[in-house]
Amino acid sequence: MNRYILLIIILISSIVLTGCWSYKEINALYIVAGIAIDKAENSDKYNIATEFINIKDNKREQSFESILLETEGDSISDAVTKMTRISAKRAYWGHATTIIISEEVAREGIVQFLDLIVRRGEARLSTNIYISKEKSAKEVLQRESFSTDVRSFELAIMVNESKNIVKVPALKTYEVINALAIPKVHTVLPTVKSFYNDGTPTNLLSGGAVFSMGKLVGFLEEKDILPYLFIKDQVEAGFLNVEAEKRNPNDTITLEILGSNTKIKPIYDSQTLGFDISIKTDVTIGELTTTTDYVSKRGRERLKKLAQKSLEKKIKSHIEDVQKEFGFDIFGFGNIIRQRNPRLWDNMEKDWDSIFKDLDLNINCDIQIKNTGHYLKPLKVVE
Amino acid sequence: MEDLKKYSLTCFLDENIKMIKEIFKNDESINMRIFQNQYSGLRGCLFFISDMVDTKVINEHILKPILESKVLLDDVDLISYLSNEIITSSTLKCSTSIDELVNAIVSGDTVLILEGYQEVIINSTKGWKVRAIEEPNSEKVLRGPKEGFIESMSTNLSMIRRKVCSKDLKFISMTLGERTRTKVCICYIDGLVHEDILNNIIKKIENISIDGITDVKYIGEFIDENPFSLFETSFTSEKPDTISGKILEGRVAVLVDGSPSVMTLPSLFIESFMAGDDYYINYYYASLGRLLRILGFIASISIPALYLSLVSFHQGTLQTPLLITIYAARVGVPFPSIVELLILLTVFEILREAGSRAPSTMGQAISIVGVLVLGTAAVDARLVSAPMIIIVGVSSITGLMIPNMTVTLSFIRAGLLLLSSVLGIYGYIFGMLALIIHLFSLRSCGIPFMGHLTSFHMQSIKDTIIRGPAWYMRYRPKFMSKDSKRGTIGGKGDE
Repeated sequence: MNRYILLIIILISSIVLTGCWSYKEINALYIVAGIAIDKAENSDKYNIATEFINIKDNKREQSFESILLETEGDSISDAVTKMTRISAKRAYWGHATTIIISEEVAREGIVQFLDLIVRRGEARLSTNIYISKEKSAKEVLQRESFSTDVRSFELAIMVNESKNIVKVPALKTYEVINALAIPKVHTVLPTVKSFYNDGTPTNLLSGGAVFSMGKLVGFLEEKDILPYLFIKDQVEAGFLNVEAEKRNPNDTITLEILGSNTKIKPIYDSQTLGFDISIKTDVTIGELTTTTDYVSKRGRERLKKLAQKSLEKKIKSHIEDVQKEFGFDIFGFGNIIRQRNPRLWDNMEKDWDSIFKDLDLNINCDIQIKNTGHYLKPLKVVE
Repeated sequence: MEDLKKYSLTCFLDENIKMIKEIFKNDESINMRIFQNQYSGLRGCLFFISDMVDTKVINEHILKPILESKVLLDDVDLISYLSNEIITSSTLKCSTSIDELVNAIVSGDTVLILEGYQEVIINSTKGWKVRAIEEPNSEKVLRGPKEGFIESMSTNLSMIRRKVCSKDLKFISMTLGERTRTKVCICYIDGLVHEDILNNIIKKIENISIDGITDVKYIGEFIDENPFSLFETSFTSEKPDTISGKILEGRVAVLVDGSPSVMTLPSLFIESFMAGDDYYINYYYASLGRLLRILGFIASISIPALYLSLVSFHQGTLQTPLLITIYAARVGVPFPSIVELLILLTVFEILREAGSRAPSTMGQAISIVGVLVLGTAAVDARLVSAPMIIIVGVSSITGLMIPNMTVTLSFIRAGLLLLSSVLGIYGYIFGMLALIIHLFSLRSCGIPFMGHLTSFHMQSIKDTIIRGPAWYMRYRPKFMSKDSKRGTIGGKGDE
C-alpha cells in the first residue's frame, strides 16, 4: 500500500512540478506580424509601431485585417511593455516575420534590437530585418498592402518565397547576428521605399543597406544588387540585361537566369594579393527584340560572348564603386583569406581596408545558354 | 446440488416417480409418460422436458419398440436387453446415479425407468430450435466465408471440425458454473500446441469458481493475467475460418455453450488489427488495410491531445496561416479548448452508446441529430469552434476502424488529452511512453502481448503490420506453436 502511495506522489509531482505550465488559450493572444522601429521626434525615445492580426468577426464569417499600435518608450522593451497597459490580449511574437528599422535608428546601431530578440526568446531568429528609406519606418506598415491583408507578411513572402527577385539580399536575424561576430564582414540588409501605384502609395523592395559593425553606413542602389549577388553567390533566379552590341544599339536582350555558381579563389604571393572570381551561369533567352541572329549555333556563341563581357563589366564597375565609395570590404573577401590562410590574415587584418582598395580582381564569367525559351527564332517582322 | 444427496433410486417404479416429481416440484415443463407393455405387462415411465427434446425420437425409437416388443422375459437382465436389442435410438447410457438422472433430464435427454429396476436408461434425445447459421454482424467481410458461429456449441464444434479435418484436432469438454452447468470446450491441434500453454489454460479454467456463465467473455476475464489493464489479452471472433486459422497457428480455442463468440489464447496486440478478410484479398491491399488501422489507432488516441498542445502551448509550431485560421475560429467561443474537447468527446461517446443500444431503425435519427443538431448548430451558436468538430470527428472515426478496442481507445484518448492539457506536448510524450511500457509489460498465457512487433526479421513481421503473401508464411509464430514449420513436412501428427 505504502508503495502505491509513494508511486502516486511521484507521478503527481512529476506532472505538477515539472514542465512550463504555460497553457495559454489561443484567442487570449494577439498575434504580432511585424514591428517598425523609429526614433521619436525631438527626443531620445523610441517610437515603435506594432502590426497585429485582428480577426473581424461577422457572426457567420471571420476574416482578418492588420491593425497598428504605436507606443513610445525609453527603450524597445519599455515601449513593448507599454502595450500590456493598452491591450487586454497578450502580444504574441512567435509568428512575427518582419522588423523594419528607420534610417535614423539604423545609423545609431541595430545591435540592441538583435539582442532583444535573442534574449526574449519568443520572437524567432528567422525574422527578417529591413531598413526603411523613407522618413520613418512606420510608414511602411501604414501603407495598404497590395497583395495580402497583412503588410508584414507581404514583405516576408516576397523576400523568402519569390526566387525571381534578385533585387533584395534577404537576411534573417540569426544571419545578421552571425555576421557581426566575424571580423571585417559587412552585412547588407534589404531596404524598403515607397512607390506610387496609380497614386496610392505602396512599398517597393529596392536596393540594400550596408552595415558596418552593426551600424548603417551606406546604401547600395538597385543597379548594384545584381553584381553584388553574383559575387556573393546568392543568385538563384532572375533576369540579366545584356548590353547591346555597338553595331545594333536598339537590340534588347534579356537572359533568364536558371542557376548560377560563383567560386572565389585568392591568389597570393609574397608581393601581391588578388582574387579569381569565376562565375558559371546557366541562362535561357528571356526576351529578344532584334533582327540579329542570336539563335543559330554561331549566333548563340556570339550572344554568349556578348553576355559574358557585359556581366564582367557590370561586376567590375560595381567592385570599383565599392572600393572607392565605401572603402571597405562588403563582399567578404577578407573572410575567404581568413578561412584559407589564417596566418596571412593575422598580418593583414589591421590594414585590410586599405588592402581591399587596391585588390587585383580577375573576373571570369562563363554563361551557358541552355535554350531559347519556348520559341526558336526571333519573331519575324515584315516591312 | 447438495440436496440431491438425500435421494436415491429404488426398485419400485411408483416410489421413483414420486421422488423425481418431488425433485422437480413446481416445474411445469417436466413431462412424464407412464406406459405398460400389452404382452408382458411391463410397466415403465419416461421423464423428459418438453421443448428440449425431439419427440420424434422418443416416439419412434423408444416408446414404439418397447410397446410393440412381444418377448419380454422377466428372468433376463431387462435393462441390457432393452438397450441392446429393443431401443433404436443411437446414444444411450445406463446409470443408477440420481445426479446423472437429473442432469440428463435438464439437459434435454429422456430418462427411462422400469418397474423392478434401480438402474435407469438415459436416452439422448436433445432437440431444440437453434438459430440458423448466418454472417456475424460484428465481423462483416467482403470476401471469404460468410458463416458465423451460433449459440449451439455442438454446431460450432462441427463448423471447426469441417474446416480442420484432422484426427489431431482435439476437444476437451468440461462443465463450468455451479448452477448453469454450462458446457465448455477447449479445442486445439495436437502436435502444434505447446503443452505448457494448454495445461496452463486448462488449469486456469478448471479453477474458475462461478455460479453461472453465459458467454465466453466470463472466462476471458477470469483467466486474464492483467486483470486491471485496459487491453484484453484474449481474442474473440464469431467466424469459424478465423478461429480455425488461429488453431492452426498453435493457439487454443475456448468455446462456451450458448455463446456465438469463440475465444483464442494466447493473443497478441496485433490481432486486434487483423480483419477477417485480410487473408482473402490481395496482400498489398490487405497490408495497406493493416497499416491504415495501425495509423488509425495512433491517430485516434493522439489527435485531440496533439491539437490541444499545439493550440494551447506551442503556438509557435503552427504555420502562420493555420494559426490565424484556428485563431479566427476560436473567436467568441466561451470555453477553453480543453473543456471544449472534453465536452465534444463525451458527446461522441454518448452518441456511440446510444447508436449501439437503439434499435437499428433509430440509428439514422441518432446520426442526423448528432451531426446536424449537435455539430452544425453548436458551431453556428459559437459553443464550439469548427476545427474542434473536425478533430473529434477524425479521432472518433479512426477509432471505429478497430472495433475490438473502441472503448480502450476512448480511455487512452481521454488520458493523453488530460496529460497534454497540463503539460503540452511533454505530457503527450509522457503518456505515450507510459502506454508503450505498459503494452510491452503485458503477457497473454506467458507470451509477450506485443509479440514480434519489435522485430526486424522478415519472417517475424510477415503477418503483423503487413500481411505477407500466403506462400511466404512458411512458419508459424515461433513462441506459440511447438512445430513451427507449415506445409507438407509439417505437424508431427500428420502422416
